[in-house]
This record gives sequence, structure tokens and C-alpha cells, in this order.
Amino acid sequence: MSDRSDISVARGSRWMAFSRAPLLRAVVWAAAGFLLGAEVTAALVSDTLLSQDAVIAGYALALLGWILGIGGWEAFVVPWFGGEYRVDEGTGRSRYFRFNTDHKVVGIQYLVTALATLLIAGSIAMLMRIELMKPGLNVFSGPGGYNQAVSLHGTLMIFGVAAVGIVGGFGNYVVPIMIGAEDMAYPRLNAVSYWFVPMGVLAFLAAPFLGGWESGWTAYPPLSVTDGTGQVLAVLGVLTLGISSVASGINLLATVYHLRAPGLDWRQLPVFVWSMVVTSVLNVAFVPFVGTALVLVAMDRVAGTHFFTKDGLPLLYQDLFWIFGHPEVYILILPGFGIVLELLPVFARKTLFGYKWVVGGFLAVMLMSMTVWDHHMYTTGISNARLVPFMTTTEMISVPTGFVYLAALGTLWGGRIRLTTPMLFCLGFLFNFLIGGLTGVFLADVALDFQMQDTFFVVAHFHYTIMGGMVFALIAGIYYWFPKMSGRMYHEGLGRLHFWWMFIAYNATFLPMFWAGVEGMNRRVADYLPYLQPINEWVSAAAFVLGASFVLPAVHLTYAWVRGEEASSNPWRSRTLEWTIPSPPPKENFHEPPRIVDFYDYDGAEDLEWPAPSHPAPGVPVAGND
Amino acid sequence: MRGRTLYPVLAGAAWVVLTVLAEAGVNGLVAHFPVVASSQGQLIDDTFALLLRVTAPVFTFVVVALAVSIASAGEARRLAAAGEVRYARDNRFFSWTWFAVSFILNAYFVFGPGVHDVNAIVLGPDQPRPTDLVVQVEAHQWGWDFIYPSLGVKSQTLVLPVHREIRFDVTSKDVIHSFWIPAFRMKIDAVPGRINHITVTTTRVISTRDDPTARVQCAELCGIGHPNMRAAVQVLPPDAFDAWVTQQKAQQGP
Repeated sequence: MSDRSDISVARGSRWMAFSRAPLLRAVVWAAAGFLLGAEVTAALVSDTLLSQDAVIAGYALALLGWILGIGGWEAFVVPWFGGEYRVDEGTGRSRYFRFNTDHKVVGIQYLVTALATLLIAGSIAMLMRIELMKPGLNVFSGPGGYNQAVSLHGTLMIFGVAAVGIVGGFGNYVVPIMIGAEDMAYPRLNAVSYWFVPMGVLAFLAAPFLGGWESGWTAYPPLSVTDGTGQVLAVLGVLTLGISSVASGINLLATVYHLRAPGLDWRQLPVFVWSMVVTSVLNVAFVPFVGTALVLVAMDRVAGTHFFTKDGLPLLYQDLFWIFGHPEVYILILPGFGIVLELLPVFARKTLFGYKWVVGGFLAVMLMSMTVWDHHMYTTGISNARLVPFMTTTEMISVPTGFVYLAALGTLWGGRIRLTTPMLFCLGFLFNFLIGGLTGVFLADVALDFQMQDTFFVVAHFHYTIMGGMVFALIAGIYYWFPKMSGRMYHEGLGRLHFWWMFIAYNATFLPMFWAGVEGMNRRVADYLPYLQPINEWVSAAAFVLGASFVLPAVHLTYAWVRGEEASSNPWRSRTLEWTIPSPPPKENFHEPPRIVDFYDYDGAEDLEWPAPSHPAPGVPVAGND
Repeated sequence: MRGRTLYPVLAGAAWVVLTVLAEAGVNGLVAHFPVVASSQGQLIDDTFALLLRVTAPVFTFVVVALAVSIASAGEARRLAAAGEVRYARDNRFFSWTWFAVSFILNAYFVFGPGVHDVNAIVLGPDQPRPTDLVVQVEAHQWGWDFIYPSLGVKSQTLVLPVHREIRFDVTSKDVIHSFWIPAFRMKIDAVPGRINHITVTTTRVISTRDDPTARVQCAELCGIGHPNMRAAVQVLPPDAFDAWVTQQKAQQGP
């Protein structure tokens, strides 16, 4: 060994020492990056450190520092120059705070981040409902504060919760195991995809401290060109999360395409995997549109380009935004369909009905979702030639969406249904999304939209699809896969209490909102006329009960994760592959090649026992594959 | 085997009963719709009511199917325990009927009330008809200006004659706003750099003082003043309207 190599080893280990606290290093490097970018820009272009030019440059370097600091340095830069891939991925709980390539760790990182974001954005909604209890209240510092709250709530919920919760959480955790793979196709890309998410969420949360923004999650210009400096952080946050979504979409597609276990045909894929496939196609194809639109908004702000100001084309932004935005709402809901249809056969102890209709429906929704965006723009004065065609596609997309109900009802009818907590949330999903879907038929009608657009009718409609739908499915998935992920059981009684509390409070909150819209309550207002006070008082009261319902699972599931009873490998006697391996699964998932069976064949399968025995007798197969 | 016939019959009966109740509920809702003060608004309310009536049986069908499935789970368990079961993976009749019904319903929504209303409400003539009263609406952060070019009047409240076709030419001086009058059931965005049109036929004498849904309300988030970006509306009998015009002219000068 020459001296030279000794020195490099010593330097390498010094790096390793610093990387023992990668999260700290990421924070330090991000802060340093921000200061560097902002200082240089402030010195060269503008005078102040927190001008929007400085914030953009600072954020770009902060993001770079953050990604390199958390492990990107060792994972990408060092190997690029010929070094070895040497990331300390940690063990035990420390794995969750590091750059970790295990898809199961990444899944839990995504899930916990999305749930934390859900609680933050939900708390903001509670503040909004306090403001709306009476006209004339002022809980935020002025109506600008309320608009900031609306913007934060929507942006955090759509980009930080709904878009990443199921796809990032269960897409990562479950899909590779369901197809019999050891990991995702690109584990390092997967690890880095996650670490973009907290930075994006932090960008949104930091915006109020930089003058805020008040144009909502849709950020329509010209308002978004003229409002507070926080708008650029909202743009950067969406771009950050968008990079993550595109990367994870590519990864999921490559995984399902290449890593299916031998003998697992596309025609046998679990429906949840199918839902991830169509979602990923939409993510890869359409997230770039919102990136484009928002970059142009940022350029209007800092470079005076006037793409979307009154000297440009304000409506062009809306087209770009909704070309992304309407596929996006299917990016949010298709994973929910996937979870619900995956769980119904397990808890009905009955074959999934209409598998081909489901997959065909998913593919049709995926394609048709690209053709409906103008229904967000009926009242903008767009060409009359665009009205009837988009009304047609929008109404017609309920046909393939209805296949989800065809399959659900066909599966449940005559099934040996057990009302476990995950099953209750699936049934709650079917009820809520039914209301969300049917009211969509109303909003698709051009003439009705001239009355309903921008009212609480729309607010109620999309909360029924996203919260009553996607969030209920997310929670169903959490209870269902909780034993697999934690190796422990939750308390069934508390789970059911959670369902009934949330389901009743949810409907009590959002059902009256339809009527508020009919009566003339428009959306995104801090104040309203006195005649709307009674209905708003009711909605606020119900919303507080709904908000309180989240405390129960937060405490209960945290406790169960640490202290819950030990779970068996297959407490639900389910047939998909994740239940054939231990709970929690070993790092490489499968010790022996998985056996591919008909995942939905419950003919003559044993009844679902509840509670499931946590320690099955040795030698008894627990997989339900026999 | 009892359940094989019992539960479908039960489900059918429950569906009929629930649908009747739901339709009664729809009638109750329709009776409580807010006051409508334009012929376009009446059409929109009629379509709203029609869609409620048609979707009510769909809603009750799914709810009954879910409820009866849950209620018959014990029976299903007994059947399965008694002998071999072979669960259907598809049912051609059920699935294709479902497909056909949902296709026909949605096609009806489009080519029935959908296209009819677009023709009746949205697709006005490009140019105002000579009998129309033209009102230019200018939105700004945060307020409304109403200009009556043919009458030489400018106002901050929207005063209109009853039983007239009113053509609104709507634009904005700054950001995007939306010109909405809930009692007319009509809105159109005020977009800077362009003029959007809607035509409304007033059908009843109404004013903001008596009915708060008769107001101009900005419906598109436009900044701090958005919630209170309202203007009063008065729909007057023709002679009262003429009197208002004369009075305004006298106040505003030549």
C-alpha cells in the first residue's frame, strides 16, 4: 500500500464520520447552500437577501445541499468519479432518518411524512373553520392570512398528502413484494425520490414567513404573478415534489415491467399493482405540465416575461395547469380504487368480481383523464367549440369509473363479509366516493357549472372524492398493512371506533356544504353574508369533531407500533404475496422464490377468523396459498 | 338455499322504497331552492332537479346493494360452510347491463339536458341583438363598475329592468375575477385583456335588500378583498328603471 491510498482511506473515513449524522449534515449543507445562493444573488442582482431572485437561487442550492447531505454525495457523486457506493443506511429506527434503498423503509418514510403533512394541513383547515364560524371574525391577521391558509391547506393536501400518500407509501412498500421482487428497479433513485418530499413540504411551510402567497393551490395568474414572495416558494415546492413524483413513477413502471416473479403474468397482477401502473403513467406524462406552467409564472415574476399577465395569455396558464390537473385527480383516486378492490375480496372471502372490467376501467380512466381538463374552464369564456366535447368526455369518464363499483358490488354480493376496520373504511370509501362521483355528473354539465363553479358545491364535491375517497382508502390500507409493516396488531375496537367517528363526522361536515353552495356560498372566502351563518356554524362544529377524530388513530397506532400484540405473517388470511413472508418482512423479502397463485381465489378458502391467531401452530401453512 | 331468493327480493323491495323516499327528498330540496330571477336560471334549476331525480335511483341502488350484502353475510357463510362454493369471476348479463345502463345514462346527460342548455344559455349570438340592454362590467381589485353605453350611465350598483334580455360584456382591469349573480344562476369570469359575454333574461323584480342571493359576488379568488367584492343588484319594473336612468343622468351630468 502506498501512502497515497492511506491518505484517501483516512479522508474517506472522515467523510463517513460526518455521515453518521446524515440528517444533520443535510440540514447544514442545505442552510449553507441557501446562504450561498441567496447572498451571491443578493449581491449581484437585488439588494435584499429575501427578495424572490435570492430565494430562488438560495432554494436551488439548498435543495442540492439537502440531497447531497442526506446521502446523495456517497450514493451518486462518489460513484460517478469511480468511488465505491458506500452509504451508511443505518439499522433499526435510524434507517428511517437516512438515505435508505430498502423499498420498505422508503415506503414508511413516505407514509409517515404524508401523514404528518395531513395533520398539519388538517390543523390549518380547523383554523379556517374557526374563521368561518361567523361573518366578520378575524382569526388570521386579516383576510390575506385566510387566503394564505387556503393556499397552504390545498397545496399541502394535494401535493404533500394525496399525491404521495398511497403511491409513495404503499406503492413502495407493497408493490415490489406483491410482484415477488426483492426491491424496486432503481433503489437509489427510490431513496432519493423520498428525500425530495420533506424539502418540498418545508418550502410550502416556509412561504408564510416570506410574505406568503394567496393564490391557492391552483396559483392562477395574474394574481400569482403579483402576490407575495412566498409564491416562488410554492412554485419551487411543487417543482421539488414533481421531480419526486416523476422519478417514482418511472421507478414503479420499471419495477412492474422488469421485476415480476417468473410466472407472474400481467393478467394475474394484483389490482393494486395495476392501479400503481396507471397512476405512474399519468405521473410521468403529466406532472411536467404543471412544472412548465409554474416555471413560466416564476419567470413572469422575476424576469418580467408577461407569459400570463394581462399583456400575455392568462388563460393559457389554466390550460397548462389543468392538462396536468385533471389527470392529477385520477393520480389521487386511482390508487384508492386499487386499495379498495384489493381489500374487498380478502374481507368478503370471495373472488374479485370482474377483474377484466377493473383493469379495462383503469386503463380507460387513464386515457380519458387526459381529455377532460376544460371542464375546469367552462366559465372562463373559452371558445364555445370546447364546451360540448369536454362535457361529453367528462360525463363519459364516469362509465369506466363505474366499473370500480361494478366490481365492488359484484364482489360483495353474497360474500362472507367481516366488518373489520380496513373493511369498514373500504365500505366508507364506496359510500363517500359514490356521492363524490354522482355530484361530478352535475358539475360536468356546462349549464349547471355556470351556477356551481367556484361555490361550496365544488368544495364538497372534491372533498368527497379526495378526502372521503382517497383518504378513506389510505386509512383502510394503513390498518390492513399495519401488521405487515410493524409486525404488530392494532386494537380492533379502537379501529372501528375511529371509523364510525370519522365517517359520521365526515359526512356531517361535507354533506351540508353542497347546500351551502346552492344557497350562494362561494369558495375561498374569509367572510360571507349573515344569511349563510347557520349552515356555516353547523359545518364548523362538525369539522371540529372530524378534526378531533384524527387524534385517536394517531395515539392508537403509535402505541400499537411499539406495544401492540405481535402479528402473524398473515393475520387476514389473504392470498397476495406480501402475506407469504414474515411480518415485518426481511430486507430481501423472499427467502425462496414466491409461488404464484390466483390471488383472488377464495373458493372454499377458510373463513376469516377474527381475531387471527398470532402464533399459528408450527408446520401449518399461514399463507392461505393452499 | 332460502337466501338465494330472499335477499334479491329484499334488495329489490328496499331499492323501490328507498328510491321513493329519495325522490320525495329531492322534491323537498327543489322546493327549497333559492329564489331564481332569470329564465336561464330557471333552466339551470330544472336541469339540476332533473339530474337529482335521475341519479337518486343510482345512489339508492348502490347503497341497497352494500347494505344487503352486509346483511346477508351470515347466510353466505352458512352456504359456504355447507358445501363447495364456486364464486363467479364475472357475470356477463350483470356486467354488460351495467355497462349499457351507465353508458346510456351519461350519454343522455350530455345529449339531453347538457347540449340543450348549452344551446339555450351559453351560445348567445356574437353581437348583441338590438333589443338587448348592454351592460359593460369592469372588475378590479376590489370592486365593480357597471357601464350602460346606450344610456350614458355608469353605476356602482347593478340596476336592471325586469323582463329584458341583458347582455353583459365582462372584463377585468387587473387579475381574474368572476362575475356571479346567484339569483340569476349565472357567472362568467372577468379576464384581463378580453371581453366575455353572458346574456341573462330577468324574470322578476328583486333587490339585494330583500334577497341576498340577488347580488354581484366575485367568485374567483382575487386577493385580499375577494370575499367582500360584492355589488348590490336591483331588478326594477320598466318605468322605475327609466326613472333611475333619468336620475342618474341628472346626477352624472352630460
